[in-house]
Amino acid sequence: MPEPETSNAIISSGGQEKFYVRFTRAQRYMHAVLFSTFLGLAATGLPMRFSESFWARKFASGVGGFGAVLFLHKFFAVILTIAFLIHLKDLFQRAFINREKGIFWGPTSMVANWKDVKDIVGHFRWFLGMGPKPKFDRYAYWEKFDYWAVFWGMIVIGFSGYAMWFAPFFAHFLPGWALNAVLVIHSEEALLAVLFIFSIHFVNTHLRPDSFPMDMVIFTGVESEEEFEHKRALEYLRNQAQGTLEKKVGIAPPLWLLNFSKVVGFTAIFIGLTLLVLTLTAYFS
Amino acid sequence: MQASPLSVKSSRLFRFSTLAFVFLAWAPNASFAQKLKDADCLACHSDPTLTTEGANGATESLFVDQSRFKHSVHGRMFACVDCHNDVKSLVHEKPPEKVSCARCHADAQTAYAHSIHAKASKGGTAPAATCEDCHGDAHQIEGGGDPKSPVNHANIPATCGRCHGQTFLMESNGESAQAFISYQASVHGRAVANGSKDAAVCTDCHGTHEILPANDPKSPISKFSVAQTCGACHTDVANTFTASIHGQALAHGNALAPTCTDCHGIHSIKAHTDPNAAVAEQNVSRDICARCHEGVRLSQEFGVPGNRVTTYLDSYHGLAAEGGSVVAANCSSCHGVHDILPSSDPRSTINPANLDATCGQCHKGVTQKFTRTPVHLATGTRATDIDSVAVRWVRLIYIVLILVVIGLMFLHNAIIWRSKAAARRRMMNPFMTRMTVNQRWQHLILLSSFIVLVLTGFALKFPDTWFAHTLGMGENLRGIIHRVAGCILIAVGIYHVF
Repeated sequence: MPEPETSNAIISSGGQEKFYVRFTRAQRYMHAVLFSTFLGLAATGLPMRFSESFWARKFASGVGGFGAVLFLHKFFAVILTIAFLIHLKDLFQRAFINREKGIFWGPTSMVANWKDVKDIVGHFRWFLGMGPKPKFDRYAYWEKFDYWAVFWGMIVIGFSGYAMWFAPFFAHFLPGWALNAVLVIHSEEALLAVLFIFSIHFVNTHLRPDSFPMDMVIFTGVESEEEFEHKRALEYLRNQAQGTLEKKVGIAPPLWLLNFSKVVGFTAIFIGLTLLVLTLTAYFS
Repeated sequence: MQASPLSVKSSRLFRFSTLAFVFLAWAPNASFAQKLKDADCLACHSDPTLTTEGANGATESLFVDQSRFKHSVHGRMFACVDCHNDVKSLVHEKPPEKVSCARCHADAQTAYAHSIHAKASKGGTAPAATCEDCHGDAHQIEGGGDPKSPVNHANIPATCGRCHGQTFLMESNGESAQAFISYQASVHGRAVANGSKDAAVCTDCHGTHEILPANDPKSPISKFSVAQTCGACHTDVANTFTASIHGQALAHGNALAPTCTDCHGIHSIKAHTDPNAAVAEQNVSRDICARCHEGVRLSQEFGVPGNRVTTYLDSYHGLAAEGGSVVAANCSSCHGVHDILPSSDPRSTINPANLDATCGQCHKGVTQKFTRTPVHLATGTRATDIDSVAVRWVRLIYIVLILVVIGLMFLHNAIIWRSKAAARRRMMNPFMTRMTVNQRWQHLILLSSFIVLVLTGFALKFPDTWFAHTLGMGENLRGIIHRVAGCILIAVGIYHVF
């Protein structure tokens, strides 16, 4: 929520504001691949799970039958698997080849730490009017939760999916009951993922009052100084203190990128919310 | 059904017109001893306008088509008076008796006498087919082998359909024409219509003269005879079926076991390749097997496991089949078709020793661990096999996980939203009175009564939805609450206006 003074400051400073890089180009592409294949997987997976609902049948006949739906599902799955493996390779490289400090333990890490626990408590104290709003570092606790939810989800859904795809092969080392269990695991975990992404993640990162209607940083890679300072105060202050702030300065996003990002982002949100509504109606009917 | 044209009872016209002949013919009295020639009869009966008054005052023709009679099966062998043997003279002062076919065709008559046709017409319950209704006019009858004969194999459906295909006629006698209509659309009916000489017509299953109802154990269409009747043509299938668990059960007199018609339909039999057939691969599980193997009847009566189809539909194969896949296994892919046997039978396709081959039809290179994995998982909490328990726990864990994760995060976000929105509002504009206390109370009553009305009202409109069940109140209570809320809303409305 912008403070009134800073709001005025933006207006007075006009277009002079600095932009800081939050996500690299590779990370943004990775997110693009992730969310487009996830939408594809959800759009093809949900009709198979709720195959008796009218929209599932309409969708299936639209793309050429449930055989085609399954083919597309596997197609997206393979792409997402490749993206996930690339991500693992990056992590491995950063951690063990480049010996990047603080990738696991530190203020910029995705790994949960004691500060996150304190932030949760502090956040709730602030909600109840019992204390000041906590200041967050590079990744707030709910952003870490988002990341690990997806990370865990991809492992579980991916593994159970491949176990179904190549069931006779997996039967060599999985017990018999697991062959039946993976179907339930796959569909329930996917349901959790769909509900999580389309309700929690959308709200956490895009629809929350700080970012409403959409947080563009994952598309443009940069955020304004005011946003940076407000949302991730600790990271901002630390960089300021260390004098590394200037290293993070990026270029202001061009108008076309902003507009393109809006179109892509809103399309994704629209598809996601549509699928969420359809899922909920199918689940409760 | 028409009354026979030969049943001449009284005809004044006939008597007067023949009076002259009576006197003229009186002189050559010796003609009594002499057999009348056909030409003599046809002197009068070749006149197409020759009529008499029938049983109920209707005009009936006494015309005999000379050329057709000569070529008929009877005309080739017999003279008129061979059958009309009570006509001794040209002048027959009293109308000749109706000729009984039974005089020659005694076997057919005996068989016919047992038939449902004979019983129906004798009982007077309904007009039913007699000899001529099926075989045609006695003067024009052709042998059954003649393509023009109404009882020629190819013409049987049309002949039976003259009565059984007429909806109003059948319904006015408490019967239905649907059997015939279904037959016409069936694989048999269409094959016959397309010129097949082998496809079954009515008489192939029902018999000819001695047509018996299905509840007669002697009938070829009685439950325990159907397989044999169908086997007359479908010999191999019938033999396979007789050895199957269904066939064995029938042989023991178990009427709950299905015979051919229970799965394939009776008159409406369609090819299994027809997507509208109940036995088509995309329908067979739901439309056929489910009828017995889904409910509790078989499990309670014979200890055969129930819920076979819902448990199948929850499995991989079922999900794929529900999605419209025709590659995915249905019941018969694993259990067989006519050769279904319990898994304990070494010949059964689902006998553990044969599973590798059965699953291997689709899944190449499967291992035993794969094929021994149960397909039908037990539902409910009573199941104790590891597969069912594992699936049950996984599902339970995920339901809890979904509720906890989504619920807590939702709560978290809702609180953030509220806090931030409140903070923003405080900052943007200080408080001003916009709504008075009175107005706010009105709004509160309005919204609460409206919500109650919506819930209780839609519970009546959509009684099968989940929230109607969630509400769980009886119809009486629901009505009272709805009316009370309605009165409150109306009262608020009236208060608001004044």
